[in-house]
Amino acid sequence: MLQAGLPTQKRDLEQKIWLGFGLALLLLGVIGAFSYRSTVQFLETSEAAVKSRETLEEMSKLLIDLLNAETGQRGYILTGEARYLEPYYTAVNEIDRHRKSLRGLLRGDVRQQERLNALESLVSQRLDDLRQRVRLRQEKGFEVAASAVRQGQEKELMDEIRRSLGEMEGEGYVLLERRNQATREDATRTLVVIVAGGLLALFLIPLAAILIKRDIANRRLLEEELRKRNSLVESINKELEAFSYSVSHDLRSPLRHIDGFTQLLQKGIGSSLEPKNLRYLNIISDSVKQMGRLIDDLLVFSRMGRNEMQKTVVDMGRMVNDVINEMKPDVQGRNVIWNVMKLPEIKGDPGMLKLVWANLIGNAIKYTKLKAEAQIEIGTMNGKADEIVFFVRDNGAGFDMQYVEKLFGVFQRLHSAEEFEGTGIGLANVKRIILRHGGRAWAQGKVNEGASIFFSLPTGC
Amino acid sequence: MPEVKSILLADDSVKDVELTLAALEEYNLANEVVVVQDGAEALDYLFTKGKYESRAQGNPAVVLLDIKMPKVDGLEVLRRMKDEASLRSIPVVMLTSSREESDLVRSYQLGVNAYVVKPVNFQDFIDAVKELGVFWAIINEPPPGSIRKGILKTKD
Repeated sequence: MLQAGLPTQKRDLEQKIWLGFGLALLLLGVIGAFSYRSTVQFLETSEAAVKSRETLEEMSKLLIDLLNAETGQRGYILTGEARYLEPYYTAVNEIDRHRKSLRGLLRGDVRQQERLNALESLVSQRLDDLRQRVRLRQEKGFEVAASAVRQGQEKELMDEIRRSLGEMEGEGYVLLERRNQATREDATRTLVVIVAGGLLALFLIPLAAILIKRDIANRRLLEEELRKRNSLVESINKELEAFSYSVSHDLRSPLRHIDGFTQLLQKGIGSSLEPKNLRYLNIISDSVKQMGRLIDDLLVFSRMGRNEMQKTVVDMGRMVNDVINEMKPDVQGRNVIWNVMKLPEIKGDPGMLKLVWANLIGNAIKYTKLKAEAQIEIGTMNGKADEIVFFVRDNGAGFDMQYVEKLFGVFQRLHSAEEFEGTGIGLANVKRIILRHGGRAWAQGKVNEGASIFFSLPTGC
Repeated sequence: MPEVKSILLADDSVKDVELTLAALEEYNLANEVVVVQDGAEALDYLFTKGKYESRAQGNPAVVLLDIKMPKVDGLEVLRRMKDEASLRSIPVVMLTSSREESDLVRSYQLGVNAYVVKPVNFQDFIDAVKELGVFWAIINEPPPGSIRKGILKTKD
C-alpha cells in the first residue's frame, strides 16, 4: 500500500537523472575529442611551419653559397692567387651540405623531391663548370680560362637555378598556407563545439540538479508518510497490548469463580447428588479449565505476533534436550523411544524457538499416548541451498492429508477434544514464529500411522 | 502444639475472598484471617488507624495482597509497608490474578517475599493457598511482635 506509488515514480526520475548525466558525459567526451584533435593539428602545423622556414633558409643559403663559389672562382681566374680558392672550396662543401639538408627536409613531398632532383642536376652542372674553369686557370693560365668564361652559359644556368628555387619556394608557401587555412577552420569548428557543448552542459547540470532535488523531496514525503504509519502501528500495538492484558485478566476472574464455586458445590452436596448431576458439575469444571487454556493460548499467540524478535545464536540440540527433559513428567510410566539427531546452531529468537519445540514435541507426546510404544524422531534434513530443515516425526494418531491445509490454522483441530485435548493454537503459533524468522512450515501424515512436522529456517539470518 | 498466627487478606473481590477463605478453611486457618476490601483499609489495619485504632497490638504473621484494589492498590501497600520500620519485616505474598511482568518486577523490586498468581483451577488454588497458609502461618517463625492467636485445632 505504501510502496505502491514508489516504484514507477522512482524509476522515471532515476531514468531522467541517468539520461542527463549520460548526455553531459557524452558532451564532455565530444568536446574533449574535438579539442584534442585541434590541438594535435596545431602542433603539426607548427612543426610544418618550422620545417618550411628551415627549407626556405636552406634554399637561400644554397643560392648564396653558389654565388660565393662563383665569386671565388672569378677571383682566382682573375688573379691566379690561391687565397681566392678558399671561399670557393668552402662554398662547395656548404652547397653539398645544403643539398643533403634539403633532401631530408623535403622528404615525403613527391613533387618537391622531383624539383629537387632537377635543381640538383642544375647545381651539379654549375659546379662542374666552376671546377673546370678553375682547373683551366691552374693548368692553362688566365687567357684560356677567361675565354671559357666568356663562352659559357653562366647566366642562363644561374637563371634556371634561380627559377627552380623560386618554384620550390612558391610551392612551400602554398602548402604552408593551405595548412594554416585548414587549422584555422578546425579551430573555428572546435570553438563552436566547445561553446555549444558547454552551454548544453551548463543547461543539463542545473536540470539534473532540479530533478534530483525533486526526487529527494519526494522521498522525504514518503519517509514522513512511512514514519507516520509506523507510529500509528506502534500505537495500535500498544492498544492491543493493553486490550489483551485486560481481556485475559478480566476473563480469568469470573472463570476462577465459576470453577471455585462449582468445586465447593461439589464438596458441599456432592455426596448427595445423583451421578448424572455430579457429571454436570464435572462438565462445568472441565469447560472452565478448557476456557482457561484458550485464554492463555490466545495471549501467547497475540504476544508472539507483536514482540520484538531477538537474533542470537541458538543451540538447537541443547534446546531440544531441555524441552524433552522438561516434559519427562508427562511421559512418566509410558514407553517412549526418543531418536534425536545432532542438531546445528542457528540464528533466531530463543524464546520463540523454544515455544516451537515445546509445541511440536508436546504434540508428538500427546498424539502417541494411545500407542504401546511411542517413537519420536527429531532431526534435520536437506533443504534448499540457504536453509536448514528440522522435523519432528511421531508414530501416533497422524492425520488425513486432505486436511493438511487446516493443520496450521488458528483454533483448527483435526481431532475432538475428547480424543486429544488441546486448543488448536499450538501449530498456528509455530507457523507464525517460523514465518517471522523467514522460514516455512509444513506437514505430512497418515491416519494412525503418525505425523511429521517440518520447518525450515534460513541459515544467514 | 503449633500456634496459629494471624493472616491479613486484602482483596476487593468478594467472590475471591470467599474462595480464599474456603481454601484456608480446608486447613483450619480461616479463623485467624482478617479481611480488608482495599488498600486503604489494609494500611489502616497495619498502622492501627481509623476503624482499627483499638485492635489488639501486634502484626499479622503474613499479609496476602491482591494488586488491583480500589483507593490504594497492592503495590502501594507493599511500598508503604517496606518504608515503615515497624512493618518492614512482615512477610508479604502477592496473591493476584495479574501475570504481567511489570507487576512481578515492581513487586520484587519492592521486596515482596512471594508472588502467587491465582490459578483458574480451584483445586490448584486450594493447593497454593494451603501451601502458603501452612508455611507462613504455621511453620514459619514470624518476626518478633507478631500476634499469636489460638492453638491449631485439628479437624476430627
